[in-house]
Amino acid sequence: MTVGGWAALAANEQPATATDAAVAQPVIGVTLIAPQPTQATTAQSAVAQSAVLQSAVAPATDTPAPSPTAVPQLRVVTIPTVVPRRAFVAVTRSSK
Amino acid sequence: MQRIEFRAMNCQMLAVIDSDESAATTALAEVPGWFERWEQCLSRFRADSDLSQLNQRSGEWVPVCADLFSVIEAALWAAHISDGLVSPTLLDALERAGYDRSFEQLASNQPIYSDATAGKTMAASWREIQVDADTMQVFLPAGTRLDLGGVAKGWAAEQAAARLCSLGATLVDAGGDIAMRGDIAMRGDIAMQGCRDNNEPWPIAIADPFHPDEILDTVLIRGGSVATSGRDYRRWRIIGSGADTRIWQHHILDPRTGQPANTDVLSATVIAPQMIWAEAAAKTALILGSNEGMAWIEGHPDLAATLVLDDGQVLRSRHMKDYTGETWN
Repeated sequence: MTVGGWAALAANEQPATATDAAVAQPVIGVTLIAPQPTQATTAQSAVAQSAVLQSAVAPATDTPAPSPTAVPQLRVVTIPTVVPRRAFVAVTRSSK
Repeated sequence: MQRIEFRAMNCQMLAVIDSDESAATTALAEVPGWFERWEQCLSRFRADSDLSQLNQRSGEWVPVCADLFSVIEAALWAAHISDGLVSPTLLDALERAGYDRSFEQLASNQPIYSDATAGKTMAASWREIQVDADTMQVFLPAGTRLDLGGVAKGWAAEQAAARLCSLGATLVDAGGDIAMRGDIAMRGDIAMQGCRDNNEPWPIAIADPFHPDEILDTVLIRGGSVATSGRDYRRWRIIGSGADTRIWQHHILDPRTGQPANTDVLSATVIAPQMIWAEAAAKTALILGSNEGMAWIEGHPDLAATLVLDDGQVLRSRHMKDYTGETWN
């Protein structure tokens, strides 16, 4: 599975394909539930790092992704869709 | 793509033209001057501004310049579509709440004394303001003064974008109020002006009000305007008339009470075809609160909104998905 595909898997809570990689929103915030806290932390870090890579060179399709089998029994809960600041043209906020 | 950033109207400004031509470079260099002239016309903090002079002559018909007339018309339209929740007649109430100097001065000072809780009489209704487009004159009811605040900022963004867009698709960000101009893009049967070449969207971030340097959402917009209204900026601490009242105040007033809006919405971001519509809708949603505000947004199919609540919840209107589910190019 590609990095983008891994991000798409996390975002959509369903298996992703190489096509999904091209449409996946870049992600840097990930929350996971796992049987052991260390398991969730490891998986969270792996997914987040993969997503940052994906957003930096989007669309990325060739970078190896962490194997889902390395973090069994995980369930994705939330995925804030956040992209690198440099990707924006502008930011809307209350007056600054 | 070329851009210029500068300070004006006590805000950070940005203008972008999707062009590499030298004419675009030249035009962008003129933008700060435009904003300075508009600020001189529209600021309530400058005693010699056109607005300040109008405010000193309530109770009579006063000829005003075309820019001030245009912004007053926009403010009255905002009041109309918000059923008075976004009103330009709240200057007295704003000052009573403590917002009696530019925010740059306010933010640097110690807590200030205010009689915000004194419950003084409300200003005259916006409906009593009269305008005459033929003679370019304005009549303010006796004792009424205007604050054009966010409406003026949004108006300036849209004016600048309109001036620049002959050189390429344009985006102007006036302290978070963002206007786009360019080709027409259609969202359903709603026309959104500001599309870039090849139908490429403008990627725009929505700031996280809890963490100002972080991003809450990303939207991809092919035209129109975006505005955010919030209680996270432009707030100050007052020492009220009561013995122990030392409370935070903010600049979004509820005209029904004359007090800073007591709402569970921390910030509201709205996408709309026009800037004044986005600006008015964001303030309206914030003042109404999450339940009533989101229902009001959903009642207008040309609006899309994200509301961030005090408890951290993020609510998105059903049309917001039109702007978040697209492919990044």
